[in-house]
Amino acid sequence: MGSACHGTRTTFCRAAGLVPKRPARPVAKGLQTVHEFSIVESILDTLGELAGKNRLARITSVTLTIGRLRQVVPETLRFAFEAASKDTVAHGARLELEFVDIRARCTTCGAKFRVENNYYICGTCNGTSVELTSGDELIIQSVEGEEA
Amino acid sequence: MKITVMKNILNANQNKADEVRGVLAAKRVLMVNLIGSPGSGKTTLLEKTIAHCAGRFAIAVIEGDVATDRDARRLQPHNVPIVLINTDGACHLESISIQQALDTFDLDTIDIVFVENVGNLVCPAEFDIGEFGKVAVCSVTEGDDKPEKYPLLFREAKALVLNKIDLCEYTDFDMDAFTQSVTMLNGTIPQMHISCRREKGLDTWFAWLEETAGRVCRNP
Repeated sequence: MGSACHGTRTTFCRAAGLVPKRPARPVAKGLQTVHEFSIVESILDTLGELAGKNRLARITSVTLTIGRLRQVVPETLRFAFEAASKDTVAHGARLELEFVDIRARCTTCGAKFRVENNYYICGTCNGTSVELTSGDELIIQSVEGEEA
Repeated sequence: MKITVMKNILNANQNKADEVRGVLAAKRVLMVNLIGSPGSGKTTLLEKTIAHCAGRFAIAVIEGDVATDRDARRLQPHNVPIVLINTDGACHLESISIQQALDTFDLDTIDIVFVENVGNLVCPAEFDIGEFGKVAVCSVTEGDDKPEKYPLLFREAKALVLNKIDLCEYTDFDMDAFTQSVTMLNGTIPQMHISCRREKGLDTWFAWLEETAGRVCRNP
């Protein structure tokens, strides 16, 4: 499927190989359509690098910090991690999830506040220009493993 | 053995996105990432936009879909450079694909690149692709509660286009509730209410685009 359209400037990228090949990890059918799968793939890439650098035979636990603005469903993330980590150094690792509240700072008066119910308006001055100070994190905080 | 890592999970995508952003800034090319549900009107909005920009701005399009080339073929008659990315099931575009797609364009001859992301209000908002800004495209027929349900996109977007306003009278869409929910999430985002089909309100979208391109592009 996919072909270059001669005589036009439309390029069909499957033929051009522009879709990056995903590693052949065992996953449940359809799981790759959720973005938690992309997140898990990135996590496993990092875990593989860490295990190599630190001579770990296996990873026993991974702690993630996830901001509440991120659209990560914990159950889906766990399911994706369990499925995709088979036959990797992280197989059987415990996944610890720590969630971070959404907090913001008003750029008009400087007031800091916790955002609840999607309400990003400053409670001090009713200003609508705010910047996020926490809540959009997607971080591998720490890893535990057994040395080789 | 415990190792403190403190690494952004999407580091690899972010690094590529930052590279893309750097190249676009050096070339003074504006890249806009259109994100919205399937059927919100992203492709139709692009059809109208490309027609309006003819003779004003040189346009290129990166079209993202899970499957088929239908949207790319709809845009072909406009005779602008188009790259189609079929994601084979992935629900969003990532920066590596965008970088490779941009490499096929002559950026010295382009002012604006539109990325039509995979139809999805969730995942595309999570992945920086190096764009100047995300534009949320939603439609009256999806209901007025989408900003509350999908806050990340509406929080991150630089502009919001609400399409299909001609169908308001046939739905229960509460315009006041919708605009208020957007303002609560993002008080500074311009909200543009349009009907692509009836060509209503498009002038507000074109004005935003021209003002933004004027600031960013090489030869506005």
